[in-house]
Parts: sequence; structure tokens; C-alpha cells
Amino acid sequence: MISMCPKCAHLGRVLKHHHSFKFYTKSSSNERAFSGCFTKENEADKNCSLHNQCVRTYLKSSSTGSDTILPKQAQVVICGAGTVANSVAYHLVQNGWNDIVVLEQDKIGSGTSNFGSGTLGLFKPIADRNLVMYSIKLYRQLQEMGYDIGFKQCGSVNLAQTKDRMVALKRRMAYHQATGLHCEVVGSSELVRLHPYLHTSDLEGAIWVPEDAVAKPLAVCEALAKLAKEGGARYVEKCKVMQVLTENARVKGIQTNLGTILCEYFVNCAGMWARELGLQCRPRVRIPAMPADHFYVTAALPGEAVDSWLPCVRDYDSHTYAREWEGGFMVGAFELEAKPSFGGARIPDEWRQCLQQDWTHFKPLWEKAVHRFPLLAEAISPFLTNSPDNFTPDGKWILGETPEVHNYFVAVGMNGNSLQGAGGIGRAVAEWLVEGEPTTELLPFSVQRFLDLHNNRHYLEERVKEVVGRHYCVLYPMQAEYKHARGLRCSPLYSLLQQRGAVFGTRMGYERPLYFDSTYSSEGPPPEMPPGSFYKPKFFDFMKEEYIACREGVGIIDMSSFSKIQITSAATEVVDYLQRVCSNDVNIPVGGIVHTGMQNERGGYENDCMLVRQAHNCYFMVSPTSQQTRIFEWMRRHLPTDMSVSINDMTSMYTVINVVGPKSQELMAELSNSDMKLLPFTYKKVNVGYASDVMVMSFTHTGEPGYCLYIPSEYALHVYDRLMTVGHDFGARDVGCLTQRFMRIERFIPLWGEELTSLITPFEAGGGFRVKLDKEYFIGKFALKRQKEQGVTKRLVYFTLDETDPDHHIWPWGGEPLYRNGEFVGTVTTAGYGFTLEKLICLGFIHHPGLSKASRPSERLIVTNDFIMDRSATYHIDLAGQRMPVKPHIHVPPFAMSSVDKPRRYRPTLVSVNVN
Amino acid sequence: MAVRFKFKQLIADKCLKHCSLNGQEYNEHRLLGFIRCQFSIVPSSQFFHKTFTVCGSYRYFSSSSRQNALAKLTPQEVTNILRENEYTQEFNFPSSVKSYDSNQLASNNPIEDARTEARGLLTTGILLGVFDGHGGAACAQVTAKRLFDYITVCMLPPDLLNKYLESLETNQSLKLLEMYNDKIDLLADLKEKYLETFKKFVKELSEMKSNSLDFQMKEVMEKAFLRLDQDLSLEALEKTDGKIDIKTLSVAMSGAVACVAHIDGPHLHVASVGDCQCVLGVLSDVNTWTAKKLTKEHNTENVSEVNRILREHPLNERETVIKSDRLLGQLAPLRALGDFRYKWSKEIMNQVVKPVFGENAIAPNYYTPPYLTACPDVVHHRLTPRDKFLVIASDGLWDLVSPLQVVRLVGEHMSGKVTLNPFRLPRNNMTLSEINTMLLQRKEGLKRKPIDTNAATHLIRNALGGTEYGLDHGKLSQLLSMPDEVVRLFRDDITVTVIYFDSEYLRHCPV
Repeated sequence: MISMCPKCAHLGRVLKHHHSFKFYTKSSSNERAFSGCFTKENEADKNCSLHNQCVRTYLKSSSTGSDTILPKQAQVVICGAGTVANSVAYHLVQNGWNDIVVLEQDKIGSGTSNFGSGTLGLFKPIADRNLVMYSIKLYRQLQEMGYDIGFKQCGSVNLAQTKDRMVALKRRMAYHQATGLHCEVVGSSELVRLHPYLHTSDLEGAIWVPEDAVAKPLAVCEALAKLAKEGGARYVEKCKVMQVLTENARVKGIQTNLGTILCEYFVNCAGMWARELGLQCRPRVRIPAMPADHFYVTAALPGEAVDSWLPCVRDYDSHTYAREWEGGFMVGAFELEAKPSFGGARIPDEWRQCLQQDWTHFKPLWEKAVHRFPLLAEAISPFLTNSPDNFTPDGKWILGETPEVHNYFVAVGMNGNSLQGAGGIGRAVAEWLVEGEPTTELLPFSVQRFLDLHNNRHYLEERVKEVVGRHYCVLYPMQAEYKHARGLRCSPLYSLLQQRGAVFGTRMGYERPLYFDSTYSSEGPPPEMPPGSFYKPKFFDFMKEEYIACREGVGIIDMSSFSKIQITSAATEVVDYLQRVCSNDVNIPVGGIVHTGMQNERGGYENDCMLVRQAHNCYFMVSPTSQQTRIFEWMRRHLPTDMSVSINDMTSMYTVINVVGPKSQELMAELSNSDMKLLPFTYKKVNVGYASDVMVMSFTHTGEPGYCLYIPSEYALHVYDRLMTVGHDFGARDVGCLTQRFMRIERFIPLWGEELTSLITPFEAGGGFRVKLDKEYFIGKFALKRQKEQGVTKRLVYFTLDETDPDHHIWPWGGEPLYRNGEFVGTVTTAGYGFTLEKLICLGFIHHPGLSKASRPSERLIVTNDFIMDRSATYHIDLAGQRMPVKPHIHVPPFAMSSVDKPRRYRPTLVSVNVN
Repeated sequence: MAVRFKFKQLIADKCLKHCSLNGQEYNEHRLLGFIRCQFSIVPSSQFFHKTFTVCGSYRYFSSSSRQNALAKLTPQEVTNILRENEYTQEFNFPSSVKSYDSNQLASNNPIEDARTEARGLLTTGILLGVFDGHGGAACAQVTAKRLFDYITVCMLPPDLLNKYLESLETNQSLKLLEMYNDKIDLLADLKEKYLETFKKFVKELSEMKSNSLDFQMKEVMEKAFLRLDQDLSLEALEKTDGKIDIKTLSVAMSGAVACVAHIDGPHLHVASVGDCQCVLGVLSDVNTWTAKKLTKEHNTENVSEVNRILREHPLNERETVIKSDRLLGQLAPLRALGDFRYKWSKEIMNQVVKPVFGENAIAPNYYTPPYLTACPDVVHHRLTPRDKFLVIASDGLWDLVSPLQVVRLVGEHMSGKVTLNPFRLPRNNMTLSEINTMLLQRKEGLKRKPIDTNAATHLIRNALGGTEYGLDHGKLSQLLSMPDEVVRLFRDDITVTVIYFDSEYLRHCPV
């Protein structure tokens, strides 16, 4: 057994590794570089001896050390022994699951957990922050338990060099303050007091987050491993996972170089290796994450050591961060154009030797850091470290159960800082595994948000270049589209729409026209989105034109990206199946359409969709774009076991064109030569132009009258051409998704993933009328019934910003806190401009101010209409630090509604001049 | 009226004797058409001589024969006659109506048709009406003069109505309408009388509780037509110094059919009483013209209308209420304004009408009056950019040409008309290819270059002089130079209004 312990080999590798790190060998700095190396060697030695100690301990008692023999079976097998893996193991143990085996190809913490900046930043979007907040709490506990993890809550200052950056920071600050994270704007004198080495004259401002912290990544990693082991988890090092064995698309066991281990659950925490490991499974599991080089420099300073409690500094506009490091500084970067590690190729076995130290790449960033901290000019032998980490296509963690294989969980994609998320992620994934579903809001991180295209190596290689830098970019809401790896999934109309001035955005890799630049004249390069803004978007006038088309003529919207699934059975089994998974009554006549939610057992939304009954045994389902993988998987898992119902993804078969507006009926009647007076929520197949079998559905997703055309894709160009040619006389115009989005918001139609998530029920989101509690059992029925009896503790409310001038004020975009009588009661989920009301509008869930304190909802925390609409209550929204009054509405404020079946009647208009 | 009717009957009898109609049912229009047909083919036939000897015009017609069509009128004279009443109004404010052309050609002397066009000054919209009188011109002219005021006040919202009423009472009347091409004036005493009645109506209207949200153009039109009709009756029966006013009574004794179009933005409402017609010219996306009839004439060819009348009267009147394709054997249109001989009760007829007009004024089989109503059919049409023009005309035109012919004629005229003006670029910065396209279009149009700029004149000219081979000057000349006594046999009074829509406006205006 001892012979398997790799002490010598390990030491040797560490030495080599450190030599490779030494890139800066000026004679004057040799000494320091060496001493640096030396300390690390010592550390490594210490670790190794500690490790040996562990092995020895194991010989005495198998519960505390690392196994060297692979057990035959376990309930959970975790692959990887990095910080995240150890955290998952630890939290599983905490949840009472201790039949866990952790497999590590090398040794604990030998992967990328070995390095990293060690910073813990809370100043993030709320879902991320909640996990990081828990991480900090956990690490503090570790420190208190006596583990030397170097935990210091030294705080951080976040710098803004531009006005827009300051707005971005203040917007973040607004929701952090409301949700209990202390942060404040600090002036330059205060800033210098907090961090004396800062150059501040070119700053617009800064925000001080005192709760931010630092810790030693490797120490945390090892402490968690130790605790997991103490709880019963068994670690097997030098064990390389070869393949994940499955049976009926369910995890069965793991094949390793040390043999096979049977297991019920598998958690892929393999970090950089996770994607490759995902492919070592049948069916393949897609984990789109690719390591990119992430550089930081550690530099000692002449003179005495700097204060070890110096706050971390995030200089976003210079794409750099800095912290105190062993009396000197550590400066890292999230550069704009990053480099995929190992040239985008597979991770070599001897990967540490292959890490490129690219000083020319880092130099401009270093210069910016020197500008920010003038004393760095004096730095002695700055030492560059390349600590590659996994980046994901959207810069968000990848968590949860994979759609391909049951009980195959994933916790990877740390995007440059594994320490930060590890604590929270470990708990979230462990609870997800134990409970069978996420216990907190994890939708943005779900592994089910991807398609195969995301896992394409070339795609990832392109995309990660930009994802790294996006961490420090000002991401203007709805105006921050990716530059790389674009133009992948395109509707047949793509080129045509581009010629017509479409500016595209991507969702699920699908190019969707956001708006149309009507000044573009089909010559020259395609139109581009102007620089983003937190105020009125610069392309607002185009959106207004589009709105007018939808309101007064005809708007044509390409919505092909919608997920489409056909559900069939031999007889009417499909009805029973859908009745069970849908909360609305879906047993509608053939030719009918029903809008329904699909709920989980808690009553939360799993899907919000339109079901079209095509035949007695066949339904066609339209779901939001981002649901393509997720809902297919969810539905597949709920299929009856007798295989009587089959589901089929038809997304790419149809091009979807939305024909919206009061003149759409006449236009469609002319194009189809048939009566297009469809009853609401019905559909019919008609010929449009020369195209046959176009499904015309009488809804538009916008609240305006019109139709959704589902066109077999080969006819799409023809139908579009007819729509536009004949539509000229009906005032037809191309319309983009952003306008459509605003129209939806104005009509109080909640959006998937923003209002509707797995933690929100129909009663909370105002969709209670679509829940048929009187029908037979359906998933979530009992929870919904109970909720209907007891009332809801949060409620979606529509707010108008009556006193905000859309031309001059910062707009709400989502994420802003809402205050009722000065108390925080909720957060804006979506916001937009109401073209009809000519006001800014936002939607947000409102709860009682005391809800966050109370552990379980009691009678007085029920949100009633009276509570919301209480005349004495005043509501405010925090727009980047400025509180603006808002007016609540439970229903859409009445405005002239138009609809297809009731054309607006004639009313005489007064001639104003003559009246007076 | 009665005299003429007898005369027509006579001709009909003659026709039936002289030529075979294969025992077909005939009516007046068909018959007149038949005569015309005979006339143009065998003008000097025996039948023709005999027929027209009756009315003493033999000499005139016998001298003109088709073989040597010696036209009595020069082309210039024809044009002068045709253009005498033509009128064009362009609207320079943003509106769905670009312009209108109108024209009238009299057959009766004086003409029994009337027309009015006006723009609302308190509420937006344009009103255009064609009125075809019978039994004298009085009713048509009075109706044409007064109806638009009635319609307009019915459209006013309550507060504005009160304001208007105030202004009426202080004699500083707000102007309701701006009239176009208004050439006829009423007698001063009638005018005064009508103003009094109108004031009363406005007052009653303002006292009625109405909700502007319930506004229905159909109700407005019906109310206006019926109220005016009722007022005509009351004015006729009103006694000043114990005497009936013969002027108002003669208005009530004559009758008129009417077709009124109200156009505001994309909303077109057409109210029609009787047998005027209103046709929409629609250009399809493949550049062919279709005619969309917006009215259904109230005559005996309208089955539902006949059924309505039969239903309203006892079974034993089935045979008499509609006879010889006429109401009570006398009146061709089945709905009309005025014509109180078919509306008043028997007592009134006996007390008021009989003393003045004699026994014959009461129609035979006059048992269960009223037999006639002035209630209009109201049609709403939302204008689309495909709708290029609207033609309203009295039956004088429709007797000669079909709606589709009319639409084609106006359509051709539209494209040919542009060549009557010098070529001008519509805007700057046009490319050569765009100019080329325009020039090619113009070249096409030149082939159809019309004589008249006014589409109404163009229609009348083609209706009268059109043959399968184009315009026949001889035919035109003949029809325009007939003596008053017979001309009515060959053509009725013709009134035509052609309204052009602004497609660009309709493309962009909200629904």
C-alpha cells in the first residue's frame, strides 16, 4: 500500500512545476524567486507529509485516511477531490449520507484547487451571492474550528473608472443593501484610508464591501476533505475514472483504472477534466466547460510587508484585481481576450508542464495594475502564475443532474475561482441530490441549460476567450451579447432579416432578432448594436416604430427559437399523461390550444407552455427557448413506464413567425384565401401563398391580436416573402424580440426563467386561473391546493414608474429592490418600457417585510390584495441608489385593448380647433 | 308622375306587341334598355316610328339614321354639355380621402337628382351624398340640404352638443359643416322653418341621455334619416293660420332616395335608402379591378326587401302591396324619404292631401299605411390600401353600366389621368431606374389617355357613348340632343360622385 503513495514522485512533480513557474530570472531577483520556490517546496513537503500521515492513519483506521483499494460499491461516487468535490462530499455527510467514495486521479487538491487567488467576493448577482455568502460562512466556521485556512474577512473595494461602471456598481449595491449585505460608496479619502496604496485620481467612485474575504484555497480544500473523511467519506487517490457505466440511462457504476465500483449516484466534480469525463459515458453527458488560462502575479515589495488586512481591490475597468499576498501583492486579471488552455486541445497528462507563462499577454494588464498601485513599479521579481480554470459558455457555474443520465450530477465550471463558490455549491448540490430537486434558486446554473452545440470543442474554444473578460465587463442589461461563437443556430430567415437590418442576440445558441435598424440599407457590414446604456437604449426609436406596427398595423416577429415538442400515443394515453404533468385541463377538443403550466410537487413551475391538440392522440407543445433540453428531459422522466406515450423534439422542423397587430386578420385572410376569424386559443392548418399546411394559431405571446404561424421550415422564406409583399399595404414591419418582450411586460405576461421558476407557483405569479384543482391528480396538485387555501407569501405585482422620466432617468432592468413604506419587500424580476402607457414598468414579487426573518410562513405573512394595494402604503424602487416612487397594480392598468374578433368600432373624433 | 307612368305603360304595351320578349317578365329598366337597343340597331324601324309618333317626336328621330349619323352636336358641344356641372375637390389636409370628382347630367327639367358633399367642422370626417328625387325635385333638394346637419348633430358628444345648442339659441351658430360646391339655396321662409325644426331636434337630442361610449354609426344614420323624414311630415301637416303650407306639402308629396357615405380615417359608413348605389373600386395585388357593392338597392329585385314589405302588411294585401314591380303598383323604390302619400294614415290623406291633389293622389289599395319607410341600411367598411375609390351614383348611371364596368372605367381613368398633366418627379433623389419605371407606366397610361380629367364626367361620357369599339360620338350626340319630352325615356338624371382614397394614408393609419 505504501508503495502506492507517491511521495517521491509527488515531490518531484512539484519541484518541476515550480521551476516552470519561474519565468522571471533577472539576476537581481533570483534570490527572491528562489526563496519563493523554496517556501512552496516546503509547503508541498509539509502537505505531502501530512498526506503520508493520513495514509498511515488510514492503515490504523480506515475512516480517516485515503483508501488505496477501490471499494466494490458505494451510494455516491464523486469524481475529483478538489475544493468543490470535497465540499459536496462534506455536505452529503452533513446530510447524513456517508456511503461516499471520492475518486481522485492524482491526490487531493492536486488539480486547479491547488491555486487561485483565494478571494471571496460577495458583490455578485443575487443567486451567485447567496452561494458565496454561505461559502464565507462555512470557511469562517472552519477557521473557528481551528483549521488554518488563512481566512480573513478583509473586505474589498470595487473601483469604477467610468460613470457607467459606477451605475453598474450602484445597481448591484442597491440589491445587496436591500438583502442584507453591507456595502457603501466611499470617497477617495476614505478609499485611501482603506487601501493606502491606491491611485485614486482617475476614479469615478468605489464601493466598499466589508464582508468580502480571502482564504487559502488548498487549505480549505484539505480541511473539507478531512471533515468529509471524518464523516465517513472514503477517498481513493491515484484512481482515474475511465468510464461511467449506465443502465437504462441511469448511473450504475464507475469503471476506473483500479477496477469498477458500483454506485447509485455519481457526481462529476472533475474540474478541468469534467467535460472529457462527461464524454466517457453512454449516453454522453454534455458538460460544456473549457479551461482557459487565468493569470496572476505575486510580487514582493521592498521595505516592510504591507498590512495583511488590506482589502481586496477589484479594478474592473482595468480587468484586474489585487490582494495582499504574503506581505506583497497578488494581481490577477480577467482579461478581455483570454486564451483557452493547452491551445484548446485535450488536457495533457503532464498538464502542469504544459502551462504557458505568457508574460507578453499579461504585460498590459500588469501595467494597468502598476498605474493603480504605483508601488508595484518597485516590485521585486513579480512572479507569474497560470492557474487555468474552467470557464463555461455563459460564465455561470454548471450544477445539477444531467438530462442525459439519471443520478449523474455535475458541479463544475467555477469560472476562475473555485474557492468562492465551492462552499455554497457543495451544499446546494448535496441537497439537490438528497432532496431530488434544488432547494434554492439554481435555474441559472442548471446543467440542463445547454444543447450539444455548447459542448462542441470549437464553440467552447471561441466562447471562453470572451467569457473570462465578461466577468469584469459592464454588462448592460439586454445589450450585452456575445461576440464569439455566433451565427450557429439560425432560422431560415436569418440572412434575409440581417439584410433588413436585424440586430441579433443569442439564446440557446439560436440567433434571434432583437430589433431592426430601419435605417440600414442592406449595403455595408450588418448593423451592430450601439454601445449599451443603463438609460434609454440608443435603439429605442426603432423599438417604438416596431411597437406602432404591432399596435396599428402588422408586426412580423421571427420566433423560431421556441422549443417545440410533439407528444403522441396510439390511443388517448397522451391525454392521461398530459393531465398528470399539466396543471390546466388539457383535455381540449382537437383544434384547440391551451396555455398551461407544468408543476413540480411543490407547485413550482417546471414549464410554461402552449399545448395544441392536433389529433385525439397527438399534442404539439410550444415552450420557451431556454427550455429545449430541460423540459424535454423533465417530460421524458415522467413518461408512463409502459412506453405508451412518446415525445419528439420538433424545434428545428418549424419556422415560427408571429403576425401581430390589428390588421393581421385581414392580411392572413388575404394570404390564405380563407376566413381567418379564429376563435381565441384555436388553430387551423391553412395554405399561405403557395405553402401548404402552415399551422396558424390564434395567439401571439404579446397580448395583441394576431397569429403564430408554424411553418414547415422549407416554406419559411416563401411565407415570409408573401407576408412582407402583401403586408406592405397592411403596414407590415419586422419586429424584434426586445419589443415583444416589452409588450409582454406591459401586458403583465410573466416570462419564463425570470418570473416563472421552479420555486414560483401559479398562484404567486398570477396564473392561478390556469390551475384546475378540480381535475384528477396532477403533479403539484396538493401543494397548490394547500397554497390556495392558505394564501401566498409572495405575489407578482405590476408596478408603474409614474414619476420616472424614461428620457432622463436610469431605467429599471431587473434586480432592483422594491420598498414598501421603506422596508424591503421584493426584487424586480423584469422591467421594460410600456409603449401604450408611455411609462416604465416593472414586475416583481412582493412579500411581507418580515418574511426573511420568520422561518415558516404564518397567517400574518400572507400577501393579500389589501396588503399590496393598501392606500396608505407607498412603494419605491431603488434605481442605482436613487429611490423612485412606484405604483402597484394587481391587474394591468386598463388601456385601449384591441383584439382580432372585435375590431375597434368607429367613434367620431372631435376637431379640436373649432371646439373652443 | 302619373302621366309619365301611363306613358311608359303605353310604350311597354307597344313593345310587347311589336317584338318578341319571349314572354319574359319585364320591368321598366329592362324595357328601356330594350328600346335603346332597338334604337341603335334599327333606328328607323317600323316599331320605332310608331312608338314615337305617340309623343310627337317622329320627325326628329326619323331624320337621324345610323348609316349616316349626322351628329347634331360637335365634339366640343358634347364636352361642354357633359362638363357643365363637373366639379373636383381636393383635400389638402391629412385624410383618407384625397379628392373627389362629381358631375350631374340632367334629364328631367329641372333635374330631380341632388348631391351634397361636406366636411365636418366639429367632428372629423367627410360626408358625401347622392339623392335621386321622384315626383318632382323638391324632396331631393330639401333632403340634400338638410340631411347632413341631422347626421352631424347626432354624432356630437353630449358636451359639444350642448355647446352647439347654446350657439344655436344665441344665433351665433357654430358651423357644423363646410359644404362644397353648394349651388342651391332654399327659399328664405322655408329656411327659417327648417331652422326652427332643427333647433327643436337638437334640443331634444341634448335632453336625451346618451353615452358616447355606446356610439353606433348605424344608429346615428338611422336616427338622422328617420328624424328628417318625420320632420318633413310634421312641417307639411303644420297649419299656419289654419292653412296648410303648400310648399312644405309639395316637399312631402315628392320623394327621394338617398345614398350617403361618411368617411373618417379608415372607417367608411354608407347609409342608403332606395335604389342609389355605392361601389368600391378595389385593386388586387395582381393589378386587377374588382367592384365591391356596398349597397343593396331597395327595389323589387331585392328579395328580402320584398319579403319585409309583404310581412308588414296583412295577407290579403299580398297581391296589391307590390304590383307590376312597384309598391302599390306605383313606386319603384321600396324605401324613400318623403313620399308621404305612402306613409300617412288614411285620415290625413283624406283631410290634407285629397283637397289639394284630388282623389288620385291616394294610391289604390291603400289600406294599412305606412307602406314606405325612410330607414336606411347602414354598412360599415374598414378601408384598406387596396380600396382605391368609391363611386356613388343615382340609378341613371347604373341603368347604363354595371358596377364592374364603372370600376374599370374609373380605374383606367386613374392610370390614364396622370398623362393629362406634365411629367413631374414626385420626390428628389430618385434613381434612374425608378424614373424609368415611372416613364414606362406613363407610356402605358398614354394609350388610355382620357378626354376628361374628371372621373365622373368620364363615367357619364362612357356610359352614354360607350360601345364595344370605344366611344361613339354619334350616339353621344344623339342622346344629348334629344328634346325634353322624350329624353327621360333614354336616360334618367345622372349624378355621379367618385371619391379617391389615399392609399398611403390608409397603409399607415391605425385601425
